[in-house]
Amino acid sequence: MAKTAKTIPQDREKTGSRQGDEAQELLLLLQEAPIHGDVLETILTRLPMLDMVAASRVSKAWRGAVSTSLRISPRVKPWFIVYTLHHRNHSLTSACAFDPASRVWLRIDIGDVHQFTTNTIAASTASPALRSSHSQHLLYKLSAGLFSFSFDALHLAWHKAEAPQVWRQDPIVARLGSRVLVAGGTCDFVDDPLAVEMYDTGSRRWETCEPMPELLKDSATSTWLSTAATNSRLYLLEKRSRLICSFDAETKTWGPTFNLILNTNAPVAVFHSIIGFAGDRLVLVGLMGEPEELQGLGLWEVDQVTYECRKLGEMPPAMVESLRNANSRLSTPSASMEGDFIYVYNPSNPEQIFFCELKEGKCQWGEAMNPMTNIRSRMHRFVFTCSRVGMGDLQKAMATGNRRLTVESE
Amino acid sequence: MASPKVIVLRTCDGETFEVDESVVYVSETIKNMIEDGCGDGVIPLPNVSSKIFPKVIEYCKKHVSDFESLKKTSNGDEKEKDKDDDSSKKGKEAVPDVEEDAEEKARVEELKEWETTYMDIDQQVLFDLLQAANYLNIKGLLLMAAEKAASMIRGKTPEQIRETFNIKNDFTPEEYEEVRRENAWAFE
Repeated sequence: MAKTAKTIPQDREKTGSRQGDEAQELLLLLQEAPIHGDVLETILTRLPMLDMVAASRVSKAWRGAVSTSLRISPRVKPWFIVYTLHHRNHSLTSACAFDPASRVWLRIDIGDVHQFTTNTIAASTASPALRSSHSQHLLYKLSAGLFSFSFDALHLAWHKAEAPQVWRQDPIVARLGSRVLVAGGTCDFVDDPLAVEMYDTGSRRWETCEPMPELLKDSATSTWLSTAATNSRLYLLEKRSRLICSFDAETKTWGPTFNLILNTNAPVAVFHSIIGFAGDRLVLVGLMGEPEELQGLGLWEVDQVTYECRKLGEMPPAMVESLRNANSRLSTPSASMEGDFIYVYNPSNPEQIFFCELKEGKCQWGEAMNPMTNIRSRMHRFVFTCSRVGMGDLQKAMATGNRRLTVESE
Repeated sequence: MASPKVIVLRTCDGETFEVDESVVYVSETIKNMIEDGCGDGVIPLPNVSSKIFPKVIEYCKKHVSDFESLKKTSNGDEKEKDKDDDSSKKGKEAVPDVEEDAEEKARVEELKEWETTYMDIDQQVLFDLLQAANYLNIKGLLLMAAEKAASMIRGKTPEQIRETFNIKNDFTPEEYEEVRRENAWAFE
């Protein structure tokens, strides 16, 4: 291996001059520490986050090079995380994540499982179901007495709050920076099905806000509405009708409702849409064709002021076919986005996932098979998020001992 | 135009090489030296050995045509731009001309094959290549070699990486324990 030095011209007489001697010394030096400085940093920039952790433990020099490399090129490709829960008792069976940078699936062993499954210390009360808000990687559990949620990349920190005033089922839950909004939902006795409350993690208080627009009266649940949120704004889109409206976290008021217009090649129309934020862009994923027969999937960027829709790209036909086959007639594909990535998947079977990376405005499509076959059981329900997992997140996870990540496949 | 100019270069171990100017221009470092007026004499390369230099030149020769074809198709580039504008109006993804696409595909395939053969080298040559590409500022070569070196790190534990690269663990036991606690890893 590198222990054997490469052959140096032993013939010192030939070169003779002082320059020759210095050259020999330099050659020796080059061999002893072959990889360092600029060169090492360049090599490290080609490594995904996972391998950076091992690299940082090699030597002091490598540890420094890892820091520099992360500064030069922070790994920003978000992981797609799947939590598998038991359908009836809501216990967490397993968790895994896909890292698009290394195209590797990781099994996540969770030490503090109770954070994900129970809201109270007494296990006798029914466990509230873990849900994903599909916005700003928020996971939450809502029960009559408690509202607990987590929004860091690996869901290590859980906030516990008292439940909102108005009890509802299946409300819209979204994170807007340090605030969490709960809106709509169904309830038998409540006067106002459009009630909106916002929780501030700083003051730990709930505040009642302007109710949702009347037009959403019959569809004010997370089943019918798709959410996209930034730190200051929330957008709600009716999945079937493409009615859209926005909420401003500062003024705590709703904007007017609009109907989004999408241009497609007739006769194929968009029958179902989902929105989300991919970085600063408000992106719409539009399923085209019919509920029983998916014919295409398009991506549009929605202008946040004018609501004009500009097409970004379309899923390749071969991939649409796979997506169609992966979905049963009863489940519609869903999407989760973060950074430059849009993940598309079957919410009842995450065996195959599809994704699009927005590179300089162009769509790069890919797909990946999940090697964790134990999640194929019908006894399971899945919760999906995607988040950018950084070195700090990994280090924190390791330090608390609550996460173990194992690579499942190459 | 006059016959291509030949540049004379001397590696750190005293050997001299004569190479076409267009070929050495692939190295930003050498290009700058020539533009600064050193092209008429012998250009010294104190950080490059005679062993690795031919390998570097092999890369440069292959990629000279890249530079030239880029110059030639500056008109072609504008053509590409117009095409994109049209397709965005149509609201579809750009469907490139079938002929051009096939030609481009073949070129890319051929280059990939060449790269695979070129990078079929042992570790020491790879390290020398990295150093040389870095010093001579040949971006494409550096990235290609870096990718290969990165593949030697992927999936390895710190100890395995140390073995591969012949690196000494210079953490003190206390420091190492601290680092380990920070980054305890699954496959250890």
